[in-house]
Amino acid sequence: MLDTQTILQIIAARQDFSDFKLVETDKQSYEMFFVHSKVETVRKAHSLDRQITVYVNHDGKRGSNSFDLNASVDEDRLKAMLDRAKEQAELIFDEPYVLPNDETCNVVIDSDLADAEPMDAAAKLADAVFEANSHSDCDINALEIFVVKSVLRVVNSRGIDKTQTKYTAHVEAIPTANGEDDSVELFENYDLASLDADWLRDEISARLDDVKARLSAKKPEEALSCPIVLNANELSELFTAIVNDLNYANQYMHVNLHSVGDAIQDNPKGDRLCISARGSVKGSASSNSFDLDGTNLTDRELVHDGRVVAGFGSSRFAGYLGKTPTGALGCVDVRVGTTPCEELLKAPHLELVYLSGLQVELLNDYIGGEIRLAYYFDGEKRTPVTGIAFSGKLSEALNTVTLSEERTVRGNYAGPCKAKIEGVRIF
Amino acid sequence: MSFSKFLDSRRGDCVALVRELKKRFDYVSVLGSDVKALNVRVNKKTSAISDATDADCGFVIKLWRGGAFFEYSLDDIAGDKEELALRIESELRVPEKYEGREISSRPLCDEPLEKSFRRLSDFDKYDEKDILRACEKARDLLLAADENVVNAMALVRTLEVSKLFVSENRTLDQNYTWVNGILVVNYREGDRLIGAREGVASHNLAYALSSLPLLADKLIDKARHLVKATPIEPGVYDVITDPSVTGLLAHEAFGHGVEMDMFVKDRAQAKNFIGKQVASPICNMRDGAGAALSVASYYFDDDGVLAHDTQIIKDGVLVAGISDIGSASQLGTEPTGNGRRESHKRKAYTRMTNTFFERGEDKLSDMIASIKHGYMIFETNNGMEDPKNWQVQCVAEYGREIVDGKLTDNYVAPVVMSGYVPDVLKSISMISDDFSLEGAGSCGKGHKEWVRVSDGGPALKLKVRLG
Repeated sequence: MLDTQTILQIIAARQDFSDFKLVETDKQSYEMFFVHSKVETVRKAHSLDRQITVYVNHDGKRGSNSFDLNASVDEDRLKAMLDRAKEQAELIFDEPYVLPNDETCNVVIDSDLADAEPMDAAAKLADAVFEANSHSDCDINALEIFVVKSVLRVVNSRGIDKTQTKYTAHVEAIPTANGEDDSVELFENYDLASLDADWLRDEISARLDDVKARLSAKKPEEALSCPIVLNANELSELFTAIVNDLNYANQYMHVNLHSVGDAIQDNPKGDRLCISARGSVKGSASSNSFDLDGTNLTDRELVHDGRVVAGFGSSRFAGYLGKTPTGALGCVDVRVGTTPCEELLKAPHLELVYLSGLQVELLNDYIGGEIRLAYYFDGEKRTPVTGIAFSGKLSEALNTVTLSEERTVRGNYAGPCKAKIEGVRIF
Repeated sequence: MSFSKFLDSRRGDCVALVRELKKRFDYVSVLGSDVKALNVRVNKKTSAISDATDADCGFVIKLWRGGAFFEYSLDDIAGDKEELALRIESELRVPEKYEGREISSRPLCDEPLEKSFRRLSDFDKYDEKDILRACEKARDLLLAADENVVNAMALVRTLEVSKLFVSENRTLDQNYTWVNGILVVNYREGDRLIGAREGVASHNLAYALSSLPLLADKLIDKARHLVKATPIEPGVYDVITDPSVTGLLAHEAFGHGVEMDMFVKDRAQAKNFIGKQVASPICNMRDGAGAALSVASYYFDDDGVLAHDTQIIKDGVLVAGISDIGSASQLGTEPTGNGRRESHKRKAYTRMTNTFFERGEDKLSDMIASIKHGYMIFETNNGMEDPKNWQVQCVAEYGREIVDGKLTDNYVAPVVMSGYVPDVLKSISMISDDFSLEGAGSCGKGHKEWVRVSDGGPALKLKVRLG
């Protein structure tokens, strides 16, 4: 396998490229797979992925071509691949753009996962999941744990040479409740930025309580009509969809629904939304310090008090639009509201716990989904329900949103733990 | 196209590594993958030719000596095999606390077989320039067709797969190709912006490239209707599914539920329903890499098991599940050639391949005529399974209202179909006599482990909740 220095020397020696970029990802993982509480599979994986992009300015335009380098590629093969890449780049007639330049860094994203042997970290996370189960009628039917070290390096012909080392863990668990005649489960998965076994134990314990509730959940005898309370998983999907629409690439292609100045809440009756795209959020495994072009990530508020105030995106599309690049931001941060969760849950509502998948469609102004577990609160009693669905207008849901004052971090999302929306139909 | 030169050059290494590791393990196999994947994409303002994320090159070694399975993924296996074998054994450890807490499993089957498989392809006759030109032609047709088209994208994704499987008793290799062509328009009328798509799939580029521009008129017509689509009034309706949504139903309602690694984990109700009526007696459903020619058609799976054609539902009765070698070993059943990996870096699970309802005897026109008021729903968007509790959600891109036995131009979008699987499948009352498979999608296990799958079938008439 060619070493990185040799690859860079071979590309740099070429005079026929206007620019080049190498993105290299060195990933090592230790993985454990459980069936019930028994070890089914142990895996280790080590891969070095490399992608080369060459850029050729021609005819007043700019073309590029990207290709992967794998273990089979020797020096002669690389030279042949570069020749072919040049030919293919000359077939592309994009508007000119410039690459980020003259920055170097070597960043290690802080995580206590770095301090543990991957196997020990995996065992500690497995312990936390199994220890969470204090119910005799509950089980963890399956568990998968991945402990990953990932080293990303981006080098380009304009003086970018950046390295980021990141440690993450992924946990997928299936809490299950077993009744006399029935058995039900939940599907839970977590991307973790730290080895916080206590948090995981508490989280799984709460999900085991939920799955027990699912066992007794019934379809309501009468149609429900009340506000809906969303939790962090659904809020992440909702706000990520809104943020993605505001990407510079979408704006450049004219396929964005909203532009700067547009209201995403045209008649807000609840909290006014403030939504930012961010490069990193403490506790989020989606955090990065630069993107795959080598652009440093810069946080950007996109929506302020319900109105779009900015877009975000890579150096290329920012350049096309005459904007300042933020880099490809992967985290979403929503300003919390002023209502405590307790207050949010006081009036009758349906609190969603487990959906088959939240459907958020900006273009169709739609929000909805099939509800596999929710808690219906009628003002006095909290009852687990299942077998129902909800749908409504996204714009109306956003106009009526009330955000909790408590904040959480889940996946790529940081923001209110809960939010209440009105005007959706439950059926 | 021809089998990977890189994998060919590592045949001896695979054999030597298997021999070395056999000193330490009862079962050893090596799977080498060299998957070339190319994306050619043109938009109104940008174009790109690049390797796609489906590309994969490397090796995975599977090991067993009673109890748990072990796997080791790496980029290359060249070099000293004794040293590599020692490294693999020393790094693949069970944490001390979990030693002795391993599953029970039977020896993995390793019946002797040496075979090479090749699917004829015309990929050698075309280069990236030909593909780019076909994409540009389709894009230009779309952009010229209607001033409301704000963007048009044409995408061609090619896949050329070479895999080499070596165990003590088996040496298998395969090489095959697949291509997907996709057209997407973004269409704006007043304040309303919508997206619409059409696609074509084949193992030959000639068919895909010539078909792509021919889809432009149909796509524009669809966009013009979809931009006027209204939300559906939620309720239970008589519904006809097009082959794409039929396939999604097969995939989500029962496909995931008969993946037998879910049986091992007690995560699928289907385990308790083998031999029982689970669908209308006119329903027959199959899965298999050897059951049809589409994106998930291969000759052997990532465990070295030959492709099958598995009947899952026969006359409404659940008759069989599908499995990878590991789950079959735990259940004491025969593997069905459904062990698939996202890439050599990932674990093999039981996965669907080409999953479909078999054709029936009804004419689609008769099915539509039989409905007083309902909807015909079209095009898979996404779906979600729940094999344990048999809930299902299928999202279609759009529906067309049926009134007094006639398909109208009243479009609704999006359409979410949901319900309890046996209720949905037992409500199937008519099945059309035509058939098609959609091979453009990917399927995850949970929220990861993406593999390319096809699904489809005929049109089904059923009664179900739409929202």
